[in-house]
Amino acid sequence: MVTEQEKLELHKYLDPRVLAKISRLDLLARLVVEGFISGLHKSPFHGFSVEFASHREYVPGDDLKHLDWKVQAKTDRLVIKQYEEETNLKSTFIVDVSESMRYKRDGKESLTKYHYACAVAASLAHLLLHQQDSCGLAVFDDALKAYVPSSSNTNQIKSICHALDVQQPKAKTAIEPILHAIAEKVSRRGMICLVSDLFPGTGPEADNHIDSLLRGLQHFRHYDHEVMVLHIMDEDELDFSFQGNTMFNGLEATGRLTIEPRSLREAYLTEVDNFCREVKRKCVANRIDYKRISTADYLDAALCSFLAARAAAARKASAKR
Amino acid sequence: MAFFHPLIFATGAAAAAAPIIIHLLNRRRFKIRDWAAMKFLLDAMRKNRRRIQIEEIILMAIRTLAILMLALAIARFTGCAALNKLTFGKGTSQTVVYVLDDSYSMGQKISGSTLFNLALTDMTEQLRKRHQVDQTERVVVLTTSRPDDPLFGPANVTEIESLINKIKALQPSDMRTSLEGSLSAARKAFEDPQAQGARKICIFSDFRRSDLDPKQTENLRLTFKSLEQIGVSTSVVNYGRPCRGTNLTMQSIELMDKSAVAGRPSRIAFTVRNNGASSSAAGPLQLSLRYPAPAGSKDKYAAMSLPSQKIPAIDPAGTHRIEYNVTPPAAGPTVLTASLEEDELSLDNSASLSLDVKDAFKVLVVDGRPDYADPLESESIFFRTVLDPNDTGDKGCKPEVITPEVLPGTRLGEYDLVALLNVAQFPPGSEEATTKVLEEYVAGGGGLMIFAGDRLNIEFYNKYLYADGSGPAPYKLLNPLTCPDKRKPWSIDASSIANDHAVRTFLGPRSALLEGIHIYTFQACDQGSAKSGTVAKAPRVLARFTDSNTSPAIIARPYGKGGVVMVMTTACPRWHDWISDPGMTYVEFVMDCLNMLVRQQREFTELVGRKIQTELADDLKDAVVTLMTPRYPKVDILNLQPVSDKDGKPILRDNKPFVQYDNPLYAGYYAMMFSLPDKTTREMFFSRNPDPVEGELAPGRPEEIQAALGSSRFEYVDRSGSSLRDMFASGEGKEYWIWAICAVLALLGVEVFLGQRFGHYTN
Repeated sequence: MVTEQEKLELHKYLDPRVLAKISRLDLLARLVVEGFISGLHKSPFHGFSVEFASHREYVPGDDLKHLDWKVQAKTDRLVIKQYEEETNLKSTFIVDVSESMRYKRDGKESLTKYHYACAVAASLAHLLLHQQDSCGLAVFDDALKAYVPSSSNTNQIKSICHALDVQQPKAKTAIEPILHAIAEKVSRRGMICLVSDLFPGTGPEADNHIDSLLRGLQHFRHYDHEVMVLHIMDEDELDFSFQGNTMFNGLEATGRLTIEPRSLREAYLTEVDNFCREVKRKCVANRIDYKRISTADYLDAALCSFLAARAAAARKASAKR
Repeated sequence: MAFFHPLIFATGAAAAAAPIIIHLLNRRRFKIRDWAAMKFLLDAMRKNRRRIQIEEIILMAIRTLAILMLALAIARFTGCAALNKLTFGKGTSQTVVYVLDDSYSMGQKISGSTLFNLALTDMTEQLRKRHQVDQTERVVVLTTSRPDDPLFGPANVTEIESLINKIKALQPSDMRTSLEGSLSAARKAFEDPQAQGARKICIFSDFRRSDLDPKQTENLRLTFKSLEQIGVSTSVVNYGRPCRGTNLTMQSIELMDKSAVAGRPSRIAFTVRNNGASSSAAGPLQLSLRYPAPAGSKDKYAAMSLPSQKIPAIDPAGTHRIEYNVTPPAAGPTVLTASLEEDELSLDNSASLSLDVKDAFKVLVVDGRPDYADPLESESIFFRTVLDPNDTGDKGCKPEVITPEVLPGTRLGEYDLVALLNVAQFPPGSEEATTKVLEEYVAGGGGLMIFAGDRLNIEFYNKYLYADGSGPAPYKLLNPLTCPDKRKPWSIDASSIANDHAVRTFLGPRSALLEGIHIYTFQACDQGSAKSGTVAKAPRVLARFTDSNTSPAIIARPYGKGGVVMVMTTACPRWHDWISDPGMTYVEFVMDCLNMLVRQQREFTELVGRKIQTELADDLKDAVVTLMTPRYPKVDILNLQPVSDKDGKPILRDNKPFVQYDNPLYAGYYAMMFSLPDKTTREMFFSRNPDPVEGELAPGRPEEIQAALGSSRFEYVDRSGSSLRDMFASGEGKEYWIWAICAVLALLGVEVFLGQRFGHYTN
């Protein structure tokens, strides 16, 4: 049993400033998940993969452990609880390791977007593996840098963390072909979670970046995957609170611009907001969950979003039946 | 636009470029930051580039304007024509000095009025207008004749009509223009700590060319420059206009003799100058004499008119001199006044000459042969007879004959001339002291005549009176020379006669008379012994004998303020027969020498403005001294006290206390009266005449005024042809610095607001 004091201790690992000090990703994931779980009111181990389906009349030979005693007490009828087949959820995390993910705000206690994305992916993987689900990983920039097939093996988390650890963000992004390639690899229906800043380059293809992104995601939808987009953005990118003449040197060779940031802040924020809104709109239209997360946010936001999306997916699956 | 501190404004105006420079420098100085969301930034920039540029220009313009406004405030902007229409300049203070030229040339008549009246009207109008606009300004009203005694201020004008009435009561003085003194006084007024705000000086003058000579206006230029340096702006109103009619000026009136004696003709010279436009004939010169009335008369002084002198036509800028003998009827203070007919400028039409007429010259005759048996044998008999033939002093000379033994105890200061006739030497034991007294007497202005003779102690003369060239004797004496053949005596060489007053009797046709003068013996001298010093000047030979060496016969030597004439023969007919000359040249020579050598009368006649000073002799020490000016009874009689130092101790001049009157500003004669404790009185007259240069009415051109002031930075109005506009229409004088500060604050506020609004500043 976890005490209140221990809950508080564990909860602090949801703070990105604390996570920035933890170098081992597997340890980080474990601490995050335990910290997250300790804050929930009931155990997530019930209701994830053992789903109640319906009642039927008891017939002799049925296992008495499935008898619904509460119904018998209320109605004096013997009914048996029926459950869905206990199947492992197959999740795949697609993490962007392009150069734009290298950005982090000034200060020792801040995380790069890539590190934050790694923390999110590793934590969710740890959570899933902890409940016997299987999960895999794909890391990409302009190519698929690493691919860990989905598995519920207890050592899977180490494979995932290792695959994330060895990557360094340094190349440009080419998201659509990568998504198509991964979609072909993940054949069994499951859950796809894209963790990326979704930033386009500056070339002509950047104008159709959202469409390109959506085409990739639709490929997963085509295979009936549940798709979720965790849009990771740095706090700087969201409030653009710089002062003084600054030369902005674009990552992924997107050019340079020298300006007084305050004069352009409003216009910039409008551009960012329009982009996020457009991505979200199109995601919703394609029944894709979208969540924008700042690197300054506690990780529970990401986890909650994931769980909520997962619950919604489960509900939809039940409704179909 | 005017500023108190133009340099500060210039600096501020240059600093207005600072925002632009900072902007340009900032563009070169920036932080470098890696940035992921570059597309959004570039898109935002593409869409907003023009807006940002406009915003930057607006902000930069506001910042530049704010710095300019700050510069305006610190440099104390004093307004311009446009601002003058606004009322918010009121309440700021300024100091205005009005300088009114009240020199007598401003009395030039123009169509029923005078330039001075025109200037008064202009000045009062300006004062009234200014008073309506701004009642806080400090005003100083000066006249050029009394710059150190302002007519008004420095003060705020509270009762404008009272001031205007005071100004309207002014009259032209009898002084010459002196702008330098007025500008110096104005500078003092501006240096007053209360003289805040703008500083302005308005000069109302006729600016005559004679007053603008660059050689004589160096101090004026320095003073004007110092005014410019403290930020004084100047307006000049020129009333000068040329003379269109007649304008004669009494240029001078002077006594040609050294002194005037009652009953003796005194030569007076009058000079008249034509400062008019044409050479039309002038009227007669009227002469009048005011002299002590004879005893028993009702009045103390009598007046008499002298025959008027006709003045011929004088060319413009030409002069005419008249010499006229005036015989004062009585001894005592006398004034001779010469007047011309009134013309376009009347003050310079008359002048006066004050004289202290003596009853007679006092001559001390030291006879070197007192032991004569027959008076005709004495050395002095002929000399004394020439001076006073009737032995009554009625010819204006009172000789007193003494022996050399009496000389050491005689007060030489009482005599106009001392004559040493064949004096062997001074009494033994007193040679040095008596020589010193004699030297001081001559150096102080007395006259000395030395006649040679057989008794002359050459050794004594050379030691004491020649004294190696520093004594009064002109040459070192040698032994007398006697004509070897009495049938061929020497004479005085006509060709050697110098052009000098003392020997004028030998000049011209009368030189022929010299042949009738026979010289048998004369005192030789060493001509190479002549020396010159600071007191004893180089001797001058006025006549020579006809001996083979052409030895000096008559020698003159200036010595200090006085002079010496040495005749190398005797005063009596012992060595010559000059006395019996039918041409009476001996008589004339002695009288001419007397006139040349007698003590110079002190100067009683000066220009207007020169101080009146006189020492109080021992007999006047206890006298009460009063002075009556030419404006009496308009100006009351003044009581003069001996000039004393801070402790009240009388200051001595020539070891005597003295009285002084500093402001003889009126032309005419001043009567100084000494009331003695015994109820008797004595008087002196002092004449103060207008400076004739002021009577030259040629007006100065603007460039001449600029040259005299050493600057062209002044507002110029020529009143000879144009009306006087509002001298303050430019708005100069009002201060707007407080509004400039407000503008700075407002601009900074707008800049911050717009900066935030444009997103350049964080809220």
